Amino acid sequence: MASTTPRFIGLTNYVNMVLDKSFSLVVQNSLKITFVYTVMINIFSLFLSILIYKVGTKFGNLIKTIIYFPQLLSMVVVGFLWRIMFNYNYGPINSLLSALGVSHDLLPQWLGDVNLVIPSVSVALVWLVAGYYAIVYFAGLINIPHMYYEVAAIEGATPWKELIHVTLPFLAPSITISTVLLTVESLSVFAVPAAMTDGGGPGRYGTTMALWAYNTYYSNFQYGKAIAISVVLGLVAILLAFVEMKILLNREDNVV
Amino acid sequence: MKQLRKKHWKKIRPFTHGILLVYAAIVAVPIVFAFINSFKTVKDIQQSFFSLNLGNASLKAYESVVSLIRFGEGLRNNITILVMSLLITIALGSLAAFAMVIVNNSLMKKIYFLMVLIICVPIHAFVYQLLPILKRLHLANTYLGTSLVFSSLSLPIAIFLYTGFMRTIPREISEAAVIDGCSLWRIYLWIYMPIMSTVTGTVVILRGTYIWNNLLISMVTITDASKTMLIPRTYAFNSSTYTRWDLVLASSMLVSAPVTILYILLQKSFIDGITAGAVKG
Repeated sequence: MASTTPRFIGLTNYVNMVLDKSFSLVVQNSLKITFVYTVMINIFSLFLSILIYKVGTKFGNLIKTIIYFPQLLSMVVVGFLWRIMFNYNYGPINSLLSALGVSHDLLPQWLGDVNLVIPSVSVALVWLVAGYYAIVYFAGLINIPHMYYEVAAIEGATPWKELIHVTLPFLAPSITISTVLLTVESLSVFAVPAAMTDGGGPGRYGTTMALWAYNTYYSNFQYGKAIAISVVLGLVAILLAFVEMKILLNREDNVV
Repeated sequence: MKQLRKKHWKKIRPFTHGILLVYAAIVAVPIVFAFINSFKTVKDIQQSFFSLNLGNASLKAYESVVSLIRFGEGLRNNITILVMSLLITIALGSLAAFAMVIVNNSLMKKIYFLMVLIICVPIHAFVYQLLPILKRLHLANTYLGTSLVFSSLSLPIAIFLYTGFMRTIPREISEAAVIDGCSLWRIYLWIYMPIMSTVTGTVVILRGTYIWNNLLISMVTITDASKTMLIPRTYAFNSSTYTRWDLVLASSMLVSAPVTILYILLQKSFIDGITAGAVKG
């Protein structure tokens, strides 16, 4: 592929990228995945970590051991597993639905449905990532001095007030780091949708920006355009991480 | 007041346990059943994923996978690249962190800040430019080239973790050692590195699983079929997911087995490793 010498063509690759009819669809898909990571997974893993903290060491350790496990699997394996789970004809999810009495015509197409493919991929991603961040948050929780909870108890704080006034302020540094890392990770999502949807289908509705760059490089051999996509992806990641850090660090200063 | 609170929690407790158990089941069920189904025939898998009827169970799918993707060859490549990458990462990462902690001037602080910033760049932003660079260095299609790429991706996190922990070692210890005539090398090898064993463990676990499970990097750096790693070989079953579920499941189980066995043996170190990394982070 390096047989021809590169020629300087200005911004042509970037123009080609923006003019591609998939561009806005792929960007939207990536933004949805970023939302799932930074908001849904973030809140869900925080919620899990608080529950683990409440149930005590023995039971908590068992739960931690189980929910961390998906993180040790390859994204390709995770994608394969969930592709089978969501299979329309023989998949366990649809078999469960028919066992519950859903008629065959009403069974969702999941990965074949343009509206359901990103939600389905998101389920697999939550399954993959939430356990890891629950443990990260748990590490922050056990470092909160216990006396603050005792004071809150004496003051008669409800669990909600305890969360707002004790837990969250102390967790602020963990929240900052996790949010930034989740954002970066969300933009790198590519192997899970690739393995789940056979390379990003149906009709690019399951393609993220990272997967688009990969397909442009390997399936279409448009190296210049692939690199243009990847550069934009990197810039977006740095920009988002920078903005989040600015906002969250400011909040940290205000609360603590 | 306290009694009232206790009552309050007693009401919530079974609920808390319940939610966690349900989520743990959601995590465990696909994996456990994928394992069970990997011994069934395609027809049996598609008839019922949740059936425990193992009448036709066999290792046929595993045998086919081992020969189809030449599992042994892939395993050898994986182990070679994993060991080389981790050795380079640990050696360079700990040395860089040692320099940053000992020297600690403004230049070092800038380099450290740059390292942390690099953690925020997804690999997809630069992975496609790697091959021309590796070719120019005559490192394309080699274990060393691929290991160097994996190491450079792991170094920012390794330096970040090592620096965080080395800063907690009191300077007086190394100062006293210098007065006693101990060289910097010996301080690094005999004082710092033994204390850093937890961090080394964390780096090995976090980056080791990353390298083992990675799809993209070795696909870009290695084009020679005999040197490809295990995950790209497994990914070759992508198009057969429609039909050969037995092969897809068996290959997934095979490639995950080494990490899973290590996890079952050393689960405490795995969880402690992330916890330690997270606290410093």
